[in-house]
Formats: sequence, C-alpha cells, structure tokens
Amino acid sequence: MKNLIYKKAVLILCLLMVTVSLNAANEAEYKRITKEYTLNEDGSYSLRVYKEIKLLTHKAFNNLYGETFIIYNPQIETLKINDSYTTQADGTVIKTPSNAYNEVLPASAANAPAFNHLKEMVVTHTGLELGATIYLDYTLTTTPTDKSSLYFDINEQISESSPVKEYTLSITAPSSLGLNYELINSTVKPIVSGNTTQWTFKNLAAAPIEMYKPQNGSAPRLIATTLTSNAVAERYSKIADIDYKTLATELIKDATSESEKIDALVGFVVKRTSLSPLPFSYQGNKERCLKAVSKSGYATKMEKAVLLNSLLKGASISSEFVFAYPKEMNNSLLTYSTLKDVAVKVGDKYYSTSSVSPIDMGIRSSINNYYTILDGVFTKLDIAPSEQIVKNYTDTISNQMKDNNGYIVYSLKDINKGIVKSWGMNSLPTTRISTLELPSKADESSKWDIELADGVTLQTPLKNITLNDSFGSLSIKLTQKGNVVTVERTVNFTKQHITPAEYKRFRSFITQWGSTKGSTLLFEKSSKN
Amino acid sequence: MKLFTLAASIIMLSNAVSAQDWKGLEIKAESNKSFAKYGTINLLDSIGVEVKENGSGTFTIRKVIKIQNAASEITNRIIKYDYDPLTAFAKFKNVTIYKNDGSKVELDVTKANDYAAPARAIYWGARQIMIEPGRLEVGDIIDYTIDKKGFTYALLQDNNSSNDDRFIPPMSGQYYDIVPFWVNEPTVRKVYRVAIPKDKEVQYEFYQGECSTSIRQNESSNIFQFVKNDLMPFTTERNMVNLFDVAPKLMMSTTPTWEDKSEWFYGVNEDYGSFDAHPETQKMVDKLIKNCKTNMEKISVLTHWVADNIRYSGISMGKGEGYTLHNTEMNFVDRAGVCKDKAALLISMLRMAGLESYPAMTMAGSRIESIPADHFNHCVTVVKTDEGVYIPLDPTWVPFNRELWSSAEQQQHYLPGTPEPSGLCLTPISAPENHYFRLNSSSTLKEDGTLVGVVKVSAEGQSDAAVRQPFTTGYSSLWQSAMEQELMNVSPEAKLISVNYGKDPKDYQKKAIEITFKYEIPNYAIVGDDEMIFKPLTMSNIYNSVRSHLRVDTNLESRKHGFKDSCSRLVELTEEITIPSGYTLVQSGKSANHTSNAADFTGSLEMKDNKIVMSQSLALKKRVYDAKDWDGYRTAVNSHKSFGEELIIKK
Repeated sequence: MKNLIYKKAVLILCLLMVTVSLNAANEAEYKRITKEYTLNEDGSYSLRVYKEIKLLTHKAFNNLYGETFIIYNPQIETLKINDSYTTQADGTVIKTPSNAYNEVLPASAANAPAFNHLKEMVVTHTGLELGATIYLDYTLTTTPTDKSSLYFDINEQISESSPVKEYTLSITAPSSLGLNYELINSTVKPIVSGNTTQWTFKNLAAAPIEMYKPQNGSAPRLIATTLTSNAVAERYSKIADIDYKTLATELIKDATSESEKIDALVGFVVKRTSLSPLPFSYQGNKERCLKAVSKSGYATKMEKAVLLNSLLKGASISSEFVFAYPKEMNNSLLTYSTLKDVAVKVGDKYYSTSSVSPIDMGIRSSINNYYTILDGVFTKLDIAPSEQIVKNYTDTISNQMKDNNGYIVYSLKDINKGIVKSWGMNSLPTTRISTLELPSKADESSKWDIELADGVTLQTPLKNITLNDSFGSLSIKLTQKGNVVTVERTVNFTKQHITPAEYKRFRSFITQWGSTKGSTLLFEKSSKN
Repeated sequence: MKLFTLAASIIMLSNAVSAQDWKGLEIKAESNKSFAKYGTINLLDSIGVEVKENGSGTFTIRKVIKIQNAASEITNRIIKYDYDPLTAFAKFKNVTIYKNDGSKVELDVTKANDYAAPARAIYWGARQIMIEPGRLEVGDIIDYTIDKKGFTYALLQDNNSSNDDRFIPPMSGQYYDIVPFWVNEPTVRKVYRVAIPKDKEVQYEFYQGECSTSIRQNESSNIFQFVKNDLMPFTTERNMVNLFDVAPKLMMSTTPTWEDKSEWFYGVNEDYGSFDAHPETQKMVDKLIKNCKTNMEKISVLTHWVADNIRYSGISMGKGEGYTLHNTEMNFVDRAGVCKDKAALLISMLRMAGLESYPAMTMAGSRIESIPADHFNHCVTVVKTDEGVYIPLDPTWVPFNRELWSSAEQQQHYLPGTPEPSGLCLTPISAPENHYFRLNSSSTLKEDGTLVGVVKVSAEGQSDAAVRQPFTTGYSSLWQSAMEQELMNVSPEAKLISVNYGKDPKDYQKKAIEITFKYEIPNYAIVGDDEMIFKPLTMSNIYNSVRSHLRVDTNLESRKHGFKDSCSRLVELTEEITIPSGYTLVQSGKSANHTSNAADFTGSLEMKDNKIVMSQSLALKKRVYDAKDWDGYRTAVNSHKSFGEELIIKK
C-alpha cells in the first residue's frame, strides 16, 4: 500500500514536471476558443468568437497577445464587442476600457482608395502580466445590401501559436442553403444536431515555429461555403471573355510582333500598375471594373490578372486564367477563400502579373492543382514538373591570382546561384516537429572545368561523394585530367515534403550539398614549389 | 486697414498662385542635367505659416511634382498626408494635374478620403487624408495644396472652451519649428515662410548649409523666408549619423531658453497630476522594495520592474494625448503605455518609494541644438541620488537589460523638467569595459579538418543584452536552436555537443551572461595533401550580431560625416588551437598595437609548441564618433579584422 502511494506520488510528480516543462516551452495557453457561425435563410450570417488565453511569459504579453486584430468590412458587416476583460494573476478583473478599442485601416488596404472603407478593430488588452488571462467575446454580423454579397465562404485554420485546450467551431445553417464543407488534416468527426454541425478539438498543440512549413498547412483546416465551384468558375468564365481593346490598342501601338505586344501588355500590368495586397478572400467577388482599375494605377492580384487577360483579348491574343488551389482540396470547394494564386496563360507561357518574365508553374505542381475554365467549369491542367537545369562553367587558375603564402583558396564560380542553394537551407536546426516543404522539386547539374596555369597544382584530394535517399540523390565529383580540374555536382529532389522521420537524413544531405568541402578547392602556386 | 494687411499676408502665405506659376521652375529643371536620371522632380516644395498670438499655426503646404518615369507614376498615383486630429486639422485645398498632352484635370477635393491611419503599437487615432490623381504618365505635373491648422508636437496645455482650442500649443503663445532642408528627390525650389506676430521674439538658425534668408514686416507680423534652390538628394555614407546632424536644416523658436522649457515642462505635468499617488501602485512599490537596503537598490528594482512589466503599447487618453504623461492609476491599471507613460509610472513609483524624480525629454537618434525648438522624440525619467545629483533612467530602452540608462543612448541630449529649471544635458560616454564581450576558445584540429573544442562567451551591459536576447525576447521553445544556430553561423556542419547557459538565463539581474559551448565541426579546415587552411574560430562569424562594429564599413578611407556604432564596447578574444602533430604554422606570428581617442587595439598570434595562440583586445570608446575619429577607429577595427585571415599549417 505504502509502495502504491509512493508510486502514485512519483507519477503525479512526473505528470506535474511534464506539465511544467510543456508550459516552459509555450508562451501562453488558450483555455478555450469558440467560433459559432449562424447562417440565415437569406444568406447573411453572424460569427461569434470567444477566446480565453492565459499568459505564461513576458513575450506573451509584450510581443504576441497584447492586442486582438479584427478586420471587417463595415459596408456589409457590423462588429459588436460583447465582453472583454483581463483577470490578473491575483484574480483582479480589469475591464477593457473604452479607449482600448481603436479602429485603423488594415495594412493590406493602404494606398488604395477603393478599399479605404475596410476597418481593423484593434482591441488592446489591458492589465496584462505574468499569469493573467485574457477574455474576449465579439460578434460580427453581415448586413449585406446587395444580393451578390450574400454568400458564406470560410477557410479556417484550427491552430494557434500556443496550445489550445478546447477549440470548438460550429456552423448553424438552414438546409436550403446547401452548405458544403470539408475538414482536412484531421480525423475529428462533427456532431450534427438539427441544423448545427459542431467540431470540437481537444488539446491542440501549438503551431511549431519552424521555417519551410507546408504552404498549404498541415494543421486541421475547415472549409465551408455556400458557393459552388461551378458558380465561381462560371463567374470567372464571363470575366475572361471581356476585352479591353481601347487600352490594348494604345499600349501595343509600337509593337511589331506578337511577342512585343505581349511584353508591352505584361509590362503595363506589372510595372505601371502597383499591387494592392488585399487577400483574395477579402475581395471575394468584388473586383473593380477594368476602367476603374486601369485609371487608378493599382490593382489586387485578381484584378491584375483580369486586366492582363482583357488586354490580351483586346490585342487579339488568346489567353486564359489559371487558378492555383491546394492539392488536398476537394474540387467542389474551389472558391474565393481557398484560392491560392492566379496567373494568365498565353500559349505555353504563364504570367504571374508580378514579374515581366513568364513563371515556371511546374515548380509547385506537386503541391497545387491548376485549373483553367472550359465550358464554364474548372478543368484541371496537367502541368509537367520543371525540367532539369544543366549549367557548365569554365575557369582558369593563373599564377597571378591573389594567394595566401602561395596558396589559393578557390570557390567554384556562381556556386551560390543554384536552385537548391537559393533556398537558404544551409543551416537548418537539428530537430524538427513538422513536415518540411521544399520550395520546389529540383534536378540540377553543374560542371566546372578549371584550367590550371603552369606551376599551379591542386592540393585538394580527389573525391567522389554520392548520397541516395527516399527524397533524392546527390553526387559531387572532383577529378583531374592533365591541367584541367573538373568538378561535377548533381542534386535531385524527387519530392517536396520531408517528413519528420526523414528530416535528420535530409539535413545531413542538404548540409553536404552546402559544405565548402564540395565547393572550395585549394591550389598551390609554383613559387612555393 | 488692419484687416486688409492681414488678408494680404494670408494671400501671400497661402501660395495660392495662379495656374502654372511653376513654368519657370520646370524650365530650370529641364536645363539641369543632373536631374534627368531621377523619377520624380519637385519643382516646388513650400510651406507657409501664419502664427497666431496663442502660438497656433495655419499652414499652407504646396508641392509641385513632375513625373519622369514609370516608378514615379506609381508612387504618385495617390497623395497622402498624416495628421493628429487631437492637435491639428488638415484638408486638401486644391489638386491639379497638368497632363503631358497639355490638358488639365482639377480633382474634386471634397472626394478626398480622411480616415484612421494604419497603425501598430500606438493607437492614438492618427489620421490620414488621401486623394487620388490615379494613373499618371511621364511628363505629368501634379500641383497640390494642403491647408493645415494646429501644431505637431508640444507638451500639455490645460485648455477648454471652443473647438479651435485644440490647435493651441500647450506652451501657449510659443511657436517653434524644425524644418529639414534636405531632400530625397531633386528639388528646384524649397521655401519655408512664416509670419510671426511682431511682439514675439524669434530665434532661428540655419544649420549645416546656407540658404537665402529674408525678413519683411507688415503691420502685425515679421515675415521670415528661407529659400534654397536646386537641391539634390543628400549624399549619405554608410553608418553615418542622423541626417539632422549633418544635412541642412532650419531651427526656429520663440521660447527664449531651454531653462524656460524645463520650467514649463516641470509645472505642466505636476499640475496635471501625472505622478499622483495611487493605493494599488503603492502596494506594488512596497512589495518590490521590501528587501532593498539602499536608495540605489530601490531605483534599480523599480526601473527594471517598469521596464519589463509595462508593455510598450499606446492607447489614447483623449485630449492631451501625445504630449501628456498618463497618470499613475491609468499606467498601473493598463500595464501599458508608450515611453512617456512608462517614464511617468517610474517617476510615480520612485516618489512613492521616497525618492525625488521628474520626467525628461530627449531625442533618440540625433543632436538637440541650442535653440529651444522641441526637437524631442522620447521621454525618460531622472532621479536624484543620495549625492544630490540627477541621473537619467530609461524604462523604455532597458527591458531585460542590466543597465538603468541604456548606453545605446550615450552622448544623447536630454532636458529634465525639474523644479530648478535645467538647461540641456548630455548623457556621458559609457566606458568600453561596461559592455565587454569576451570569447575564450580552446580547440583541437584533427588531421581530417575537424575542429573540436569549447568556447565560452561572456558579456556585460549592452553586449550582455544582445547575447541574452534569445532567452529574454525569443520564443522559449527556440532556446536550444538559437544556441545551435550561433555555432552554425561558424559552419553549417557544426555539431553542438553541449551548451551550458546556467539555470535561468532569462534572469538578467542575477549576473552577467556566460554561456559555454562544447562542439565538433567536421570539415572546419580545408584540407590539402600536406596542408590545412582555416580561420580562428573566434573570428568566424560567432556572435557577429553582438559585434556591430563589424557592420561599420571600414573600406571607406575617409569620412565626411560623423558615424555611429550601436554602443561603446570592449572585445576580448583569446583562442588556443592545438594542431595535429607534425604540422607547423606557415605564417610567422604577428602582433599589433594601436591607440587613439576613438579606439584601441592590441593583438598577438603565435605558435607555441603544437598550439596556435591568439589574443585580441579591441576597445571602441564611444557610440557617436566625429569624422576626425575615423582614422583611429578604422585602423583599430581593420587591425582586429586582419586576425581573421586564414591560417595555413603544413606538414
């Protein structure tokens, strides 16, 4: 019995220690997050949000959770703060004072008169200290005045930068609205009661603070919409047919070939139209008309694509929209909130509208699905992965090169210009929690032929390094034939996602690729011989 | 007659000149070849001010801009102007676009947007006005005028009654202005013109350059005009001091002396009751100083508590915000505020602990001139010590920092608001040893080029804060990876075997930081058949973030302007590398010794038995240096850098 009590005590102590150590690594802990969407028959809806977060470190209140930012559109939404207060460590309740509610312009709407009506409510939480808990309860209600705004389209990531004890999300919707939803990256099953569908997530871990996380996210994500992919496609299909002949004619007046016309039109959209970084989901189906866009000199990403497509049409150049959606997305959920990117396809080239040069869509073809619109519906495009890049260099090591006591330390020409080097993965941490996503697949190969002047000798031992793994292969070869030293470097990544189990091997692999051992050579000059 | 004179003066100041009066300026711009490469040319940049008896100003701001390239088309597609509605009002008076095809577009100024500006950290209701010229073309000219009323910065005035009272500066009847006369774009003509009532005595000086100056009179005012023509963007140097310290500027004030400002500043905050006692705050003070044995201990405990626990976030108290120090209750309950509010709470708490304390205004980043124009951007605290002298404390700049006054603000002017009026004060230079940064490395190089060893970092003052930063402001979950990253800055192949940063590296008050790393770095040396090449570890990017002198560009042979480092600093590096038997250092040993007013350096490197032994000491003596300090500073830093050259050992 005594032994049992002792064992229990040890167990409790261990559990306490685990709790303490978990807390020590987190800045705060959400006790509860609740989001309740209530949809009305006419398509309008309200969202009630409740959050309760306990602050564990100075960083939590100095840098992370001191303010809550709520962006909304007062033209179609009203915001009501139901309650906001802080309970300090000793239980003192500090009610959020009226001067702690301040509306500002969201940064993404800056410098754009057309979006100047958007608001960001900043709730400054007062009375914060170590051990304090923030409570906030607010409701956003849509009050649309036009029919086109009567839709519901959310894409919610169920994850926070600190752990969450309980996260509840519910949607109450009349069946007549035909709500379509999908929860991805989670096995949590909803509880359906009447018109209400509710998901409850317990003990959600904090989103890891790591670089190169998957673009599409690996945390649970709920997509719910009253829109249909077909309705969205049909709308873009109509927009795609509009031409902008008057402006196109003016812009291409000096162009003598189709490629010059394309350059002129792309140049206008990229260089002479500034980008307004308003997310797709904020703008939804409210792109401005072509004339307003061209007259204003700025445009959202979608407006730029529409402008370019219409200008091309106006110049009688065939073009089409290409929409990028996350690969894991059900193709019935291709809406505004899930749209990742848009480009314009001309012939076999794709223009992003942020660069005058065509972009390589194959780079992300393993994480995105690409769609064009055929007969008014989204139609998947097969975009081949990028081809291998091969580069050849020649160089000469002369007796005149600067030396250190007769030795020349030589770095391979343009060694940092390769695709894999450009990812900046040279010093990855040794441990990782989440899946690592490479910016693209890669297949690159470079060869350096270095001619040595008389009297210059290679001091680096010849070598041949080869690595093969589930994610790719690598080879670095140093050979010499006569007075020519040859370095051949090849790397190939066959997949973009590196799992935590593969990470250690991947890190060693990529470190090998970046090592000076395979990119720096040592030569000795004749004067030392 | 009086009325007529006033009206005439307003017309003159408003610059509401008839259309295209800038034609002559455009011709001048076209004839100036050095303007051609710029995207935007300011044909005219003018400010006209009518000052009232109460010190408030009516401003007429006019700009005429010529578009010369596509980037300028985009930049100028909107015109924005910031104002604080609590102390000023601004509106577009007229905006005309003269198109390159000869046509003219008058924008409807009633359609301008007036809105709460984007904001982070300070939420005082700042607003912007914005109007949209829209798509422009090369050759277009924008001519716009903004009317503004009020002031931009001053300190508390208790005023009431009519709405226009908000435009009266708190130091009623006083006017000042600080006018930069440097430009970012070529400017054909820049004008500042101000009409000040004759009974006000004005002091002014044009610094760091020349301009054409005139003083005219009408019945009620003296009209001062300052003009500069054909201005080119100021040529900057890397790491140079603030433009206010070197570029042309006009300072003007009707306040006679800094002592007058100090006296007013003292009275205004006392009268408002910024530092009144508050029972809950008193309880906290009693708790915090319970174990303090000396007044200096109390000062330290209270300064650090305010620094660490009152977060930097500004919410408005309404009227008076921006120049009024929030009162004790508001600061303590909110646990948030900007610099002036943090300073105010510290003053209140020090007073509650029985000490004498007051606020002070300062200018972080540049010099304050002798003319008492309010060239301030920061507020701090002064406290009287047992010796009867005031010392400055800065609770905004010392969170998780072992200092009470941040030495990143040494050589900085400040003006205390004390009962005995004060003149302008200057914070002293902090000795380099107060901010030592030491690396002590002992390692062994293996024949395959792997380096194994131990390196210990220790630091104090500002260097301590920089080394400790991952523990104080970084994510708790990233402490280990931050340590690992420091080694990987030496080589991505570095392996951290162990690291010891003590029990609680966040507890900065306990002792100066010390961290010991045990490591192994494969392929550290470039290995040849019979030789190896490598750098000393202490000179291989480890803790370069702390060594800000390495970011001062010492390639420049001479400097025209003064320059800045982040702080004075003493860098002491010792390193011992055991090399494989049979190898010897190809280079001969070396030593260096340089002394100057700006920096000292001593260093030595030699082979002792099978060890390479290196020792360096670099003392950087100031934060802000004169141009004449450059030679001494550069010689010392370059000599230090030369010890980072690759070493060669050979069998």
